[in-house]
Amino acid sequence: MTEAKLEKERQATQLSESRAYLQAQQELFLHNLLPTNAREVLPECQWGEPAPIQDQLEKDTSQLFFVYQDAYVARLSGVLASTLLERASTLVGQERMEQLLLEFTLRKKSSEHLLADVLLEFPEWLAKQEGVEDYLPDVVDTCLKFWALITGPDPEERFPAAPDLNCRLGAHCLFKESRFPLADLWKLSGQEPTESEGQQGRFIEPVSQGLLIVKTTAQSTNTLTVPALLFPLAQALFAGESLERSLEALHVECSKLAGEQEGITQALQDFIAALQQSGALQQPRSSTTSETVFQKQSPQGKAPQAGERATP
Amino acid sequence: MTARPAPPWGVGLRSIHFHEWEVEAQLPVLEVMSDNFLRQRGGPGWYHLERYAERTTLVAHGVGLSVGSAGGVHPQYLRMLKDFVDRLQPQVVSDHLCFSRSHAHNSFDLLPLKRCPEMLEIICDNVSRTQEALGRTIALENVSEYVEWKGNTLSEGEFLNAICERTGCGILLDVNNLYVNQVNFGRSALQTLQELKTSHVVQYHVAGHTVCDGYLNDTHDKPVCPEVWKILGEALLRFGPQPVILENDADEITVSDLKAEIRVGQQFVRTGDLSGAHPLREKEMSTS
Ligand SMILES: [Fe+2]
Repeated sequence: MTEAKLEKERQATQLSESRAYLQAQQELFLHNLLPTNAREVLPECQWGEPAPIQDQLEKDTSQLFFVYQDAYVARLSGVLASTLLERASTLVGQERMEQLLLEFTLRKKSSEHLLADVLLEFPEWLAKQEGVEDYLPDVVDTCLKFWALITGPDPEERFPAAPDLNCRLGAHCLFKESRFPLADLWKLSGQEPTESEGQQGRFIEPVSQGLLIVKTTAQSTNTLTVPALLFPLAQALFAGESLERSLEALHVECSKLAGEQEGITQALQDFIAALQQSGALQQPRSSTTSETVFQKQSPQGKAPQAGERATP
Repeated sequence: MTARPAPPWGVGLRSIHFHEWEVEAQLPVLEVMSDNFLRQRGGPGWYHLERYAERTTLVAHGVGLSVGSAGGVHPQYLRMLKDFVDRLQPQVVSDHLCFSRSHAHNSFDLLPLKRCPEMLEIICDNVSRTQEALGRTIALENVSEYVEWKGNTLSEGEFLNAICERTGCGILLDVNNLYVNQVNFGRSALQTLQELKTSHVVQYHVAGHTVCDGYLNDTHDKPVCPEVWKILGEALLRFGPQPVILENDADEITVSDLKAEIRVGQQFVRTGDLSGAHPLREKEMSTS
């Protein structure tokens, strides 16, 4: 082997050694970001005991390491509570939301690229905690999905003149069902904290309600309440089925519920009218049919008129 | 007094001001936080960006690249950033000269780098990969620091120059960060300005900081102090009238506050008058 080649190899080895060394130092820095007191109070903390970072830092500067620890905590609790989870914070209070976020985020080390992604498992974690408001996991989950909805594609201009059996729910819609009055909670969470203060107590009764949010423009949404009776329809629509297939899914479920047909028919008419008025429905790209929903499905054969019932 | 060249002024765009910047008279430059848009395919953000782009220059600024990660830059992040940059076509694409993550752990913060030849190798490698992936050059911002690694052998200026020379990238010079580091470590901001090669600086940041007990914290929620304006004045003389972006993340800040702060800067650049600037108060220095 030539002298030059040997030298090149020696340099490459040196570089990979120094890379590994610097990498270990950076890992140590990251590992020390969890404040010492948090390690003591958090059971099942996944961080482990770190080697002290102070030995690696210039002595007269190491006492300011807490600035980084404080910033880490603030980012994972305060920032998320006041931005992405603003509506959930309105319902339970900002301080409580921050506390729950801290407990969740400090247990695990986040490796996500974006701060918002840290919360993907938060609703599931909340649901397992004792003493957490029963409705909160659903509201937090809705906050996360709402963010994706509002920053996602705007509605395409394929709105039908009347609800057509081939219509589908656009990608600009979000549906979530809940054992709690989620639509009412969502509307309340959009109010000023002073207006909604103390009102969430009335939502502890487990009344199932679905929430359908329709993005209307880049900047605004409509909120629809979905009664529990119509969950099968909303589920099928949200799964991408046509209105015709979704009505069939509802029909199958309804046949199991003797005696409730009357109520469903009225609720169905109202809901489809609301879907139409809120801009939730879209025509397929190459739609040819003009058969309306109520010619085929409604026993009354009467489609609700626009304006008959205001979109919630 | 030598006349300072007048730069184009702008602000860091925040979602609470999206609408106002559309109806207000436009600033020549707006800085967009790229990380807020990496997943977005629409929404109010893009709605406004596309409108601003018709009338003003946009520059993109990120916090998540982690160009100083010894483990390398993350390919998935680069792909997301490329999508964003291709769509927006900003005049400058910048991020910070720091590390924020390893593969297993993201701090979402701007953590200090060891300034040594070995780290220089790593950063140059990461910058080159990034520029290759994006198909364009980037700019790196000097950050505020609170601790220093043992074993620093290069000054901030030498470190930045070497990165620029070896990769072709530029510098986003944050003059507030220079001042914060001057107070926190006694590194002279003016000396760093003297060290930097004049052709490297492509953009400036000015911001406010919080005076804490024995150190400054780069909080971006206070007015720019006179010392920082003076460093900007020197920088403009040395590096020329590159765009100056005012960063202010205070909760209650309004568009008219931001415009008033820019007027303070413009007045200073034109006349040297700092009477409207926020003075560093003795009380704040000793108590907060
Ligand atoms: Fe900055």
